[in-house]
Amino acid sequence: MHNVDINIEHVTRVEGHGNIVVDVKNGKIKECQWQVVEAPRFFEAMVRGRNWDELAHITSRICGICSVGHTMASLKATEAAFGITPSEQTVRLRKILKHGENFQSHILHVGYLVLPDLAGVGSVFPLAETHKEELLTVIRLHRLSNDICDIVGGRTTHPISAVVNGFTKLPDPKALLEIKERCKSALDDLQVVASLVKSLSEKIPAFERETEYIALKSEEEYAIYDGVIASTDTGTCPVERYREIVNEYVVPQSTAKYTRHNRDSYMVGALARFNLNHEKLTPLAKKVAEDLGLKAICYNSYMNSVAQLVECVYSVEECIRLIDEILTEGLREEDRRISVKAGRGIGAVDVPRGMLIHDYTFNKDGVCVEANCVIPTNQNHGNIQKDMEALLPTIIDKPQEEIRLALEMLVRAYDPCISCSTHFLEVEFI
Amino acid sequence: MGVGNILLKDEGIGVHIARELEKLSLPEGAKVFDGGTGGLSLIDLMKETPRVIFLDAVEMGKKPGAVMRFTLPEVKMATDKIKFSLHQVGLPEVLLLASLLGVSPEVVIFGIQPKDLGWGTGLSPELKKAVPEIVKSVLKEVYKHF
Repeated sequence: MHNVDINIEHVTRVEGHGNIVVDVKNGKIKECQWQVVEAPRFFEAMVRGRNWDELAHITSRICGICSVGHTMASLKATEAAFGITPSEQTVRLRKILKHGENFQSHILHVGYLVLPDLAGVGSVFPLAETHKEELLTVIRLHRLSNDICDIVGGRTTHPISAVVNGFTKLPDPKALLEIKERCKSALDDLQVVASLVKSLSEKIPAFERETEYIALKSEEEYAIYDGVIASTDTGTCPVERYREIVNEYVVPQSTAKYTRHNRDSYMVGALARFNLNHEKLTPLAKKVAEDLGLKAICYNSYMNSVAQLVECVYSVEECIRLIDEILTEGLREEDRRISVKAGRGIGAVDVPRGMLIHDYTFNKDGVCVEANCVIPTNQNHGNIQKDMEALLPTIIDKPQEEIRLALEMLVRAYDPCISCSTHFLEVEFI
Repeated sequence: MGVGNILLKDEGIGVHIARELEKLSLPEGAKVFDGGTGGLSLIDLMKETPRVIFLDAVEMGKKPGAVMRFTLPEVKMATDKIKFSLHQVGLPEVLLLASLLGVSPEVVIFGIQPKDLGWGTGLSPELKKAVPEIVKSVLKEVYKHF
């Protein structure tokens, strides 16, 4: 029976600012909190009064890592409001961009943010000595993922050429071919990273807590661009009824909202997608999952990083397939003109960290009058809190430093994008 | 390789200069990159070349717009003060990690004294005025090797 006093201000190796507070006196837990302290961002208020063709550019700035995801959700919401169905070419290009982002975000997270914990070091710098070739491989993969987004989206971050109903500039077919060849080599590189993670896998804590998992689901493929909302508890639900799923609410310890559905909390992200869609992965991605001991349904939040690595393999393979399809059909300039009308549209995509929804209402001139964004990480905050509450009693007798590391690794496993999640607070003074 | 953040006025001077260089015809084998805030992925680019000229805003206590050319042995990078964050991967972090990984092209840095590092996308008047001369200095350096 001992005392534990942990006050981690601004957990390192996560995006944004969050604190972990643990207070244990004589073996009794007095406090165990995941506090989100990031400043609110006000994007939903910012887009009111803006024209339909500005929204994707504005909302992509919600995040620098998931800017493609926000752009896609935004474009889909606007297109849904105006009754537009983009062409097959546009959808293929958008999927390449989404997969590029998925790969980019995941490899950055696994390679630079999680690997140091598994290797028992404080940051990526010591890995230069102990795992030089693997680190160079991660850097090479990171660069490829940046280039995929650059060539298709016109920019590494905040895609500029993806717009409503098409692309302002089509990628150069030669550049796409080069990306495809580099993607083929990347599959070998990813095996190197997977082998490294496997060799360090005993450092992944064996923690389990049953929870609800929510992600998009599609009949055609492992869903990241399109699908209906699916829950491991309650089955599927159309995207238009998302509010029945997310049920956002405010808690005092967080500047980001929490969500709950069938239980007190739910999880979104790569692990949720894997649990709901694993049978649609490619054979190679399934093999990597099997090699790394990832089996559905997995209730270990720490395995989210492993699911991300599996998705890297899938996303790279999808880039190869989609580039082949685009080049075989031939890239052609398309008429992007649209007509605007009053209406409401909801766009849902599954971005690296989980299900993302943009919900816009327009007036007859195509000006946005109302917006709501449901962010993956704010859907996860409640689950992080519940995980911590379940984990702490099982490790309470360990030395304080070990408890601290386990809790930090738990938060990191979710790969939270905290700045994304603190987007709007409505305060009612009573 | 111009690096820096163009949303923080003169902090982005390296990128502004790179964009000016992109408008010019350069000899075969010389490539201009907008490194922006590319961070660690720049190391992969560095692997592919025998020589890199970095362009970056550097606090040198000089007149705004002043340029200093230096090589790595001539400077002491504040690498002992590095608190590594993926949100703030600057040139010292990139160069340190590159050297630890054995990625070591010949590096020349053109440090440009900034004036204003506040929010904004344009350069301060002093830096804007200095752009043509900075471009000329960089071109002189490029042509030393051709």
